[in-house]
Amino acid sequence: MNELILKLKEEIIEVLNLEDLTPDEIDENAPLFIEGLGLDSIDALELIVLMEKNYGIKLTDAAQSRDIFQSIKVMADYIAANRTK
Amino acid sequence: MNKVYIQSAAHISAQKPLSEEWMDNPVVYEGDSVKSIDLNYKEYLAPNVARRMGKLLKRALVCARMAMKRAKVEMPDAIITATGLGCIENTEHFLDAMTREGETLLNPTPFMQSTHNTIGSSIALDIKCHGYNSHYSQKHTSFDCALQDAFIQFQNGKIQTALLNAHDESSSVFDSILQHIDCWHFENGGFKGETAISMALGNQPTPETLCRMEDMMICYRPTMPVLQKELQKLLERNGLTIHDLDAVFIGVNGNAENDNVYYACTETLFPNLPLARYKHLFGEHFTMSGIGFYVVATCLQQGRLPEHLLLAKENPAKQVKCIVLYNHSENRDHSMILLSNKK
Repeated sequence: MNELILKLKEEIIEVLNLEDLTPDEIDENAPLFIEGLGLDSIDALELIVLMEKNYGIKLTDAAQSRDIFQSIKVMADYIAANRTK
Repeated sequence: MNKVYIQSAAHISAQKPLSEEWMDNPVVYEGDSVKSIDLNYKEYLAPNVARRMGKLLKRALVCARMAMKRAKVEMPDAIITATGLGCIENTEHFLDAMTREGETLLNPTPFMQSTHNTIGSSIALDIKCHGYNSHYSQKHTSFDCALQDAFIQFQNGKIQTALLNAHDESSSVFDSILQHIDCWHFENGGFKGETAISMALGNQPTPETLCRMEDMMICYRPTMPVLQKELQKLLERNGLTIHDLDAVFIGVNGNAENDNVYYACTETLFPNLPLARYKHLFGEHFTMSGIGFYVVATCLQQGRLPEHLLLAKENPAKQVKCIVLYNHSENRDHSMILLSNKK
């Protein structure tokens, strides 16, 4: 799981262009939106694309996405349980 | 007629950024394609503001902020932007992803930045400006059209201040397409450059004012008699004659087809007047006449014409007071912009 969390952090840094952050500086339990990383709705779209492109997980339900994108830890748990690639 | 004052300017280009050092110590280039000298944008833009932006948007925001700061304008009444290609690097990124992956799984950020009006809207969002916001994307006449819009808005009393922008970037795909279609050949030191310039305009002179824009005209496919008549009208309605002009700036760029039109037209229109250039320092791109406008404004502010800008050996007036910036695009669209040091 730790390996997946690290990979996810690296992917998020790259896709959201958070070039001033390193994986170590991101708390996997911190909220992704508003607080924590302070992401916004466009970042949410980028994360949806990331989930499908990298892990084969298609998110279509907005409410479900909100739950999954609570934190990197929650995302990693969901990916581990549902990934198709 | 209401006059328009150029209150400030800020550029990021092939010359030293945000500086007028090119007047005395220009950077000289060899080769046919030159990128702009970029700043360390982290010093100017917060990470959360800049993280989604490509290089052109970063340049645009820094130029806009700097032009407003220099003019001491907090909120312009209008933002008017000229761009030939918009954020072409993001457009290419988006189209490339589409051809690779189909119309699914496309990242939203390059798509959002791939429209031409991303530039003006990003500036408006940055400074929270809800005023008039318009873009002009007509290849080499984009800047002339944007300037004419601003000029008309001032004439009609619709605005008192404006932020006028000209932005274009190069990319590897754009370069290769130009090469493939056998376009934009330059000789004699000409090269393809990039444009990023913002200028604050106002209807009243201030201590910061660079110069005054008196008037302008644009002609489509004019014959020489029409051009002569239009020049005459331009001068007459501003109480001037050809003898009041100190120099004419033209957009010669090292491309023989382009340059020969300038030489032929100026020989008839402006006999015996010193000719000056600017593209040998900044390069060629669709909105480079915006840089020409800034170069003329700077010369008028400083009251001098550096020798390296002069095309011929004539001695221009010791103090330049009135200059015409003459542009043409493929000998189809011709424009003349009249500027003076009056305040």
